[in-house]
Amino acid sequence: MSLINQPLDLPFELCEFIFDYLQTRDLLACCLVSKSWLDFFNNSICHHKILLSIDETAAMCDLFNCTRKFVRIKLNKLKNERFLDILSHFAACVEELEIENCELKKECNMKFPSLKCLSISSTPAEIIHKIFNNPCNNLKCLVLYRLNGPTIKVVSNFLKTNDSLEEINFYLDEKNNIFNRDISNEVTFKLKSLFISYKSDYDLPTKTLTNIEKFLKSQGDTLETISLINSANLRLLFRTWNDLKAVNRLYFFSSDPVLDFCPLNVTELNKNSKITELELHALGPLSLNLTHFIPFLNAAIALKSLGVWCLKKDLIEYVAKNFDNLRFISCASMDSDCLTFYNDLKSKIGINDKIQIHQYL
Amino acid sequence: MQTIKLQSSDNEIFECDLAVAKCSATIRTMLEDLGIDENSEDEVVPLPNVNSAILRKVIQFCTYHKDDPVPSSTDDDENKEKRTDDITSWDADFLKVDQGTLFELILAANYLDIRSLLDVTCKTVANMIKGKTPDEIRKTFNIKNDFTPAEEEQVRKENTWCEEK
Repeated sequence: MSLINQPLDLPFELCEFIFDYLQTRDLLACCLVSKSWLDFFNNSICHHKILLSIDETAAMCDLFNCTRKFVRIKLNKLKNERFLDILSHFAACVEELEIENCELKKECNMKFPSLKCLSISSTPAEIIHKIFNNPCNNLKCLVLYRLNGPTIKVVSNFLKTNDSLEEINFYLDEKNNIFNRDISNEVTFKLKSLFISYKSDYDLPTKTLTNIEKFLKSQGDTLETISLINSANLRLLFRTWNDLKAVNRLYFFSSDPVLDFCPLNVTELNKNSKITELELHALGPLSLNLTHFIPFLNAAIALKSLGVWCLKKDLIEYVAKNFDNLRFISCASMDSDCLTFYNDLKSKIGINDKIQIHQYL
Repeated sequence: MQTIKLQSSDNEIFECDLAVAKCSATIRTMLEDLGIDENSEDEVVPLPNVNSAILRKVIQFCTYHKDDPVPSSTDDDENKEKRTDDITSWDADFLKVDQGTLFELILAANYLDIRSLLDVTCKTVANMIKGKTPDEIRKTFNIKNDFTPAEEEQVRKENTWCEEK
């Protein structure tokens, strides 16, 4: 007779391994099974899959009796005392905090000793200032979404003093453009991941582009993942390519057609065998074509995964002939006979026949 | 074909192909550490944590899977959503066992360090939970609900404010 009658009788790490296969809905059901199951969730890594989302309605409810450990919390449209009370209740354990449209005028101390990731959106400077006023030694990831001028100042000052950050996601526009100054010499952190998005209708000033270029180059030894959104940023990829020594994932997305393309010669891009994932998306009738892809493809010689907006036969043929390591192409749309074309192509000698093609729209 | 003798916790000896036994990283290491080479026909590898019924099943699994390719490290991307709907029909039939045996197989796969067996057994247990209500999960594993109605209501309320990652 086995002594193990249910998953929780297994060693803790095996239990975590099983529950790691479950999604949030199932994990929440598991929390209601029994006290020992709830206790398991409070102590396991599974709670990283659950985001506690608190708006005003939720805050009115009995969250203060909550004894569960929530490490991921989103606060939306909370004001003053209610906002503070909720925060202080979870302050000790929160690791990922998202703050959207919250307000605060009262004096207080905002200390989050376990905070690893902070996401702020439409949040007044005073809140951010109070958070950054305390040591944020564990903070690795910062997501900055459409902030106002004073907030940008607070964030800029924080960036100068923090050396633990590894990932920053900037969502910027003309009113909130941290790169209107050169920050490359002010910061001491070394990022692994950088995301820069500008509103599509914002025509980036030359000065901004130059400052982003300097920043990218200053982080080039450590940056592994780079995502650039906005058509003007494509030129940056060309200009900084040879300095991005550690990059292995590169994503570019533009919701505008890419009109002015880089004037550089193809041979000026160094071959980089570290890049395994490349996504180049541009929407609209003047979307990217094979000519646009070739400089990048020829430089990313060990490519395993390629993402494009619209997949065409000439691109399939080119990569199937030249990229032996490629295993995956994802696209939003494709020419109707693309798959048949590739299947026919596979029978020929010297063709990579191991590519999976996935259309996600 | 070279064979090796494995001894279960209840002292039953199983003779199996060396290639089958080597599906277990633990056995591979033991053979190296004990200096048992491929010509040591009389050597017996003791497996004190696995009983004969489970060891028989493990050998059956490894015999079927001994020629499977070793998954590459890129297949083990931790950011990738972990699937449970990719169990082959042979594995699914193999795991049509009582719950006690399934849990014992998980322990054995972990002790013997057979990643493919650990994956498929854990996926099977995850599938026994997926899509079920708390009460259905309790019934599946014969678990008593020890929450008071007030405690259960509190957790239920908290759950309504939780979102997908």
